[in-house]
Amino acid sequence: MTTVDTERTVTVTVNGVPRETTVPVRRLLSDALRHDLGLTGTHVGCEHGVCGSCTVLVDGDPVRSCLMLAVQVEGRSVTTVEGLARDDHRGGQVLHPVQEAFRECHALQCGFCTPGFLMTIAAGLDKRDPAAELTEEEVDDMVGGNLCRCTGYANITKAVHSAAAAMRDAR
Amino acid sequence: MNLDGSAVLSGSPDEVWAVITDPAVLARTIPGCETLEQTGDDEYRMNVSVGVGAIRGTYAGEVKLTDRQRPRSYVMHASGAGAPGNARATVTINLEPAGDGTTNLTYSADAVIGGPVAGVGQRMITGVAKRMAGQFFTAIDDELTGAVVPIAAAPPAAAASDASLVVGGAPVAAGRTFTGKAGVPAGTSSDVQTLLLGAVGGAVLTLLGVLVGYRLARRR
Amino acid sequence: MTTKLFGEPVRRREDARLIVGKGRYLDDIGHNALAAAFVRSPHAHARITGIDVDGALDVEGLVAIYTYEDLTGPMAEPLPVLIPHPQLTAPRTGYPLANGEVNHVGEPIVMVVATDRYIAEDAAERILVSYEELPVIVGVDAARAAAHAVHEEIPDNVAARHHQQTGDVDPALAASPRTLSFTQYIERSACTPMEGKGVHAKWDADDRSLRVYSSTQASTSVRAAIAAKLGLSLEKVEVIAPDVGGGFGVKIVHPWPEELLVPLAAIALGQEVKWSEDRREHFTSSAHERQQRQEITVGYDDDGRITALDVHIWHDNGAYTPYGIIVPIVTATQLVGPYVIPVYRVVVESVYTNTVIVTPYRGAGRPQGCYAMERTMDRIADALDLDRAVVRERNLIQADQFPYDHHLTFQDGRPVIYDSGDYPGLLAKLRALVGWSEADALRNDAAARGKLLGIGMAMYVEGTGPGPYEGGHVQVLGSGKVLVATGLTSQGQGHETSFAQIVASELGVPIEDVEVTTGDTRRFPYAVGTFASRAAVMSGNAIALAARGVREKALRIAADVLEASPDDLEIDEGVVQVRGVPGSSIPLRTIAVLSNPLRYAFDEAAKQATQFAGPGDDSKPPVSPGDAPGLEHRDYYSPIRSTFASGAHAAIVEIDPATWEIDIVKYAVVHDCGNVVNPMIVEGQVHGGVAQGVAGALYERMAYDRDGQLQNASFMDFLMPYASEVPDIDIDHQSTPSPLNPLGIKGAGEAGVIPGTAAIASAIEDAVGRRIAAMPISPTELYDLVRNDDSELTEAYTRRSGTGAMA
Repeated sequence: MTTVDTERTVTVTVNGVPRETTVPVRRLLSDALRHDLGLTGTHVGCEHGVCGSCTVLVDGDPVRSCLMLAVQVEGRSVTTVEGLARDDHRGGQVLHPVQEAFRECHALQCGFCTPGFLMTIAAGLDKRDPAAELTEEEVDDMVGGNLCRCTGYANITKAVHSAAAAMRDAR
Repeated sequence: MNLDGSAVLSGSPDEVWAVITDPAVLARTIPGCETLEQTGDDEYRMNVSVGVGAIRGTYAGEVKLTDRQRPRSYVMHASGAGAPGNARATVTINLEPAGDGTTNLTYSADAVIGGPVAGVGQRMITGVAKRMAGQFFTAIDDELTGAVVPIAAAPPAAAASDASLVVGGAPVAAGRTFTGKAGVPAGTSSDVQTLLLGAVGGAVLTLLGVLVGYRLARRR
Repeated sequence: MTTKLFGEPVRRREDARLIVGKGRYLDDIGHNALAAAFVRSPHAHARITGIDVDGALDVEGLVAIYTYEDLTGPMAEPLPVLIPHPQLTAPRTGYPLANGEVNHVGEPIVMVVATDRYIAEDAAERILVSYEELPVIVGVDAARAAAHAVHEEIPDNVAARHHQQTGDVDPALAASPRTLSFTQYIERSACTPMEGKGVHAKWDADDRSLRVYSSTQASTSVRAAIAAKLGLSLEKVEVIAPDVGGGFGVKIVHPWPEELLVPLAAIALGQEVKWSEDRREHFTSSAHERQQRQEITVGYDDDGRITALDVHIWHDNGAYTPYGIIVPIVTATQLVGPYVIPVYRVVVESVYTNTVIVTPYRGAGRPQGCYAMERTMDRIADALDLDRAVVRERNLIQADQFPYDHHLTFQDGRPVIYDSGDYPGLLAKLRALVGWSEADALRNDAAARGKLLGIGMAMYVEGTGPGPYEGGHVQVLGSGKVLVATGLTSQGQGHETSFAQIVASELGVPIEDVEVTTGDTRRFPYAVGTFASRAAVMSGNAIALAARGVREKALRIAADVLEASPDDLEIDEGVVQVRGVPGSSIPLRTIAVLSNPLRYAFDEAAKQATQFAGPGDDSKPPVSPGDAPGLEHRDYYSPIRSTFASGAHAAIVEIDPATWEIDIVKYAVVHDCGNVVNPMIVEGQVHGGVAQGVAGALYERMAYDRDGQLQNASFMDFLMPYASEVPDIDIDHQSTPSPLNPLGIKGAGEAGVIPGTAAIASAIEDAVGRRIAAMPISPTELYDLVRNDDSELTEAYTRRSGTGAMA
C-alpha cells in the first residue's frame, strides 16, 4: 500500500570533497545536490533538460543534472558552480576567468541561468588550447545550448571572448 | 462538520445490535483499537492507534451510548485526544431491516476536530474516517457471518487473559478491558498496516465503530 | 548631477554572489520545509463533480490535502480584482482552489502537502477529480462569436469595453482625402522567467507571526493580501522577495493562489511549507499576454499625414481578470506612439476565453499598440508609394510641441502628456544606424545570393514610471556603512548597483559603503511594485530625495561641530569638509554617532555621543523639537504623471526562398530614456528586451488546441530563443531628460521588446512583398503565405516587380 522508496547510499566527490548521502533511488542529481547536499547554486529551470540552468560537470563533462539520477554519480566526481573558483590558499578564492568575465561584461541579470552557463563555458574553455584563436563555432557550442531570458545573450558571448582572452594572456 | 454513511450487514437488526454493542466485538473490530474498557453502563474508554501522515497517533477516547431504542437506533457520544489533536463527535446510528435477513445501518456524525490534526484538510479527514468506517463494518460483517478469525488464535502473552474474555463472550462487567487487534504486536497480523490507517481523531470510536475519528474539521 | 558615479557603467554588486552560486532564490530557502503540490484541472472548462482523495491516503509522507471546502472567510471568496475600472463591467476572478468549476487547464483544485515534493506529487496524482465537461472557448475570435460563454452569466464573453476618443472620428474619416481599413492579428506569448514562481511560509506559533518569501514583483502588496485573506494583522506578516530569477510582469500579479495557500498550510500545520512552480505549471497556471485581433481604419492625406484613426481591438484576457484592464488601456493609449493623431477613437473589447489569464508581460500591451500603429504607417507609405521613414517623419510630434497632450487617460488614471522627447532625432539616428538609404543596394546584393532581403522599422513611445509612489530610506551608521532600502523588488535589473550609485553620488560616499535592500517589508513597508519600467524612476528618485535629506541633516550637524555655515560644507568620500579649509573636516560616520545622543556607550564610537562627552548647549534639549535621533531620512517620490521614454528600432531580414527561414541580419536600436544611471545596465535591458521582441515576432506562441489544451507547455515545444536566434544588436542613444523628476530619468526596462514584432513584420513584408497581417510568423507560415495566390501583394512589391528591381 504505502510507497516506500528504495534508498541507496551514494558516495561521490563533489567539488573535490568526498561526500556520502543516502537518497531515494529516484532522486534527481539536481535535487540531491540542492536539497541533500545543500549546494543550491545549481538551479532547476525546466526539469526536462532544455534550459541548461542545472548544468554541472561530471568527471569534467557538462551534464544536465535534472536528467540524471543521483545514484548515477556513484564513485564519480561532480563540480558545481560552488566549486568553480579555486582556493587561493590564503583564505580566499580565485574566480575562474569566466566568472570574472561574466561580471565584467554584464553577462548576467537575474542570475538564475548563470551557473549553468558558467559550468558549460568553463568546461569548454578549460578543454581548449588557450593559445588558439577562439572561433565563433566554439563560442556557439559553449553558449548555444542554454536558455537565458534576461540578457539576450550578447553579453554572454562577449564574456566568453573576454574569458578566452584572459586565459590566453595568463598562459 | 458532518459525515454520513451506511452499510448493509448480514443479520437482522437484533443480531446486528447484539454485535455492535458488544464491547468484546468492538475491541477487535474498531480499526486500530488497542484496548477498550467498559467504565459503566453504556460507557467505554479506549485507546486506538490510527492515522495517516500528520494525523497518525495514539488517541485515548471515551464513548457513551444514549437514546437506545433497541434494535432501531442509538446515539453515540465520542471524544478523544492524542498528540495530533482532539475530536468530539455525536453519531446517530439507525438500523433498518433490509430484506434477505440483512440490516441497513446508517450513521450520521457531527464532529468537531481540534489541534494540529484539524489543519490537514477536510477531505483528508473524511477520507480517512470513511475508510475506517468501511474497515469497521467489514469486520463487523465478518463477525456476523462467522468469517472472523478469532484474535485469540495468536494472542500475545500479555493480552492473553483479556483475549480469552473476549472469546469467552462472558457478560461484560465494568472495568474489564478488551484488547483490540491493534494491541497485537506488529507482525502478528498481516492487517496491521491497514489498521494503522485510521482516523483521525482517534477519538472516536464508534460504536459502531464507526468511529472514530471523524473529524470533521472545522465547522463552517 | 555633479558626482562621478551617476551615469557610469559601474559593475554590478549583486554579481559577486550570483557568479559563485551564493544567490538565494526561493527554492534555496527552507530545506526542511514540507512541500506543496497541486492537482490542477486537465480540462479547459468543466464542472467538478467529485474529488476522491482515497488513493492518496496510502502515500507514506502525505501530510495534508486541501480543497475549496477548507477555505473559510475571505479565503473562500474570489481572488481580488486588483485594479478595478468602471469600464470593467464584468470582472471575474478565480478562487484560491476551484469552487465547483474550472475555466482553464491548470487551474488549481487541490493542494497536497507532504514531506517532500516527490511525495506530494505522488499523492496528487492519486487524487481523482471527476468532471462534467463544458463547451470551450479558445481565442479572441471564438470569444467574440460567443457560441458559448466562458462564464455562464456573461453570454457575450465581454469583460470590458474600454474606449477612449479625442474627437468625433466618423466625420473626420469621412472628410479624409484617403482612408484604408485592415485587420491584423497578434498571438500570445508569455514572460517565462527562468525561475518560476514560488512561495515559502513559516509560522511562528509563539509570536503568532508569519514570514513569507515569495518570488514576487510586489512584496508589500502580497503582504497586505495575505493579511487580509488570512485574517492576520498586517504587522504580524512579513513578505520578502529574495533573489528573483526573472519576472517580466508575471510576478506582479498577486496574490497568486499559492501565495495564500502556502501560508494557510504553514499556519494550519504549524510547519514550514514551500511550493516551487515547475515549468509546466508555469505555462498552464501563471499568465500569458499579447493575443489581439485589431481592426484599424485610418484617414490620411496625400502626403501621408494622418487625419483620423479608428481602432477596434478584441483582446483575449483569458479566463479571469485579476489585473483589470491594464493591458487593454496600455494598448489603447500607447498605440498613438510618437505621432500627431488629430482625431483618435479606440475601443478595446476584453473578452474571456478558457485559457490561462492574461496579465502584463514586458511591454504590457505596448507591443500590440506599436504593431497597430506602425503597420498603419507602413500601409500608408505603401499606398502612397512613399518611403516608410518619410511617412513616419511627417507624422511625428516635433521637439517644440512638448509637453504634448494626447488627451487620453493612461493606465495610472493620469493624462497621457508626453513630458519630453526628440522623435525626429530618434528617426534620424535610426536611419543612419541601420543604413536605411542603402536598403535597395543590400536587397540587390542579397538577390544575387538568392536571398530575399527586407528592411523594416518601428517607433514607440513608452509611458514609464507610473505612480502612485515609491519610497526610500537612507541611513548612515556609526560604522560609516550606509543602509539604503526601498520597498519595490528586484528581478535582475541591478537595483543594488544603480540605487547605490545614486546614493553614493547624492551623499558623497564611497559606493563600497552603501548596502541596498529591496523588496523586504521588514525594511521598507510602503511600496507599489516593480513593473512598467518604473523602478529607476520611482525608487531611484525617492532614494535620491532620501539621500538629500540625510545630506542636509549631516551638513547641519557638521556645521555645528565645525562652526561653519552648512553652505560652506561639502561631502566627499564620506567626509564632510569645510570647502577650501583642509583639516577642518568630520567623517560622516562620526556625524552619524553624534546624531543620536546617548546615555550608554556600547562601543568606542558611541562614547562620543554620550552625555558627558563634550560641552553641550544647556539651553536646548539633546534632540531638538522637530528633529529625530539618527542620521537617516525617509522620503517618497510621487509623480504628477508618467514620464515617456521613446525609441526606434529597425531590422533587416534575409529570407531563404528554399526554406523560408527568416534571418535577422541587422537589428538597430535607438533609445531614449532620459538621464541614465548606469549605461551598462540600460544596454543590458535593451538587449534582453530585443531578444524577447524577436522571440515574439518569430518563435514564441501559445499553441492552444480547440479544446483549450496548451500543446507546447514545455521548453521543448515553446521556442524560447537560444543565442543562435538572437541577432547582434547595434545601439545608439539619445537623451531627453524628464522634467518631471529630480534625476531626469525615464524607465528602460520594457523598451527593447516593444517594436520588435512591428519592425520585423515590416521587414518580412518588404522582403517577400506579401502583406504580413498575423504575427508571429514561422517559416512554414511564411511559405504558405507566399505560395497562396490569394495572399495580398504589397504595392511596393508590385512596383518593384514592374520595374524589374526584384526578380
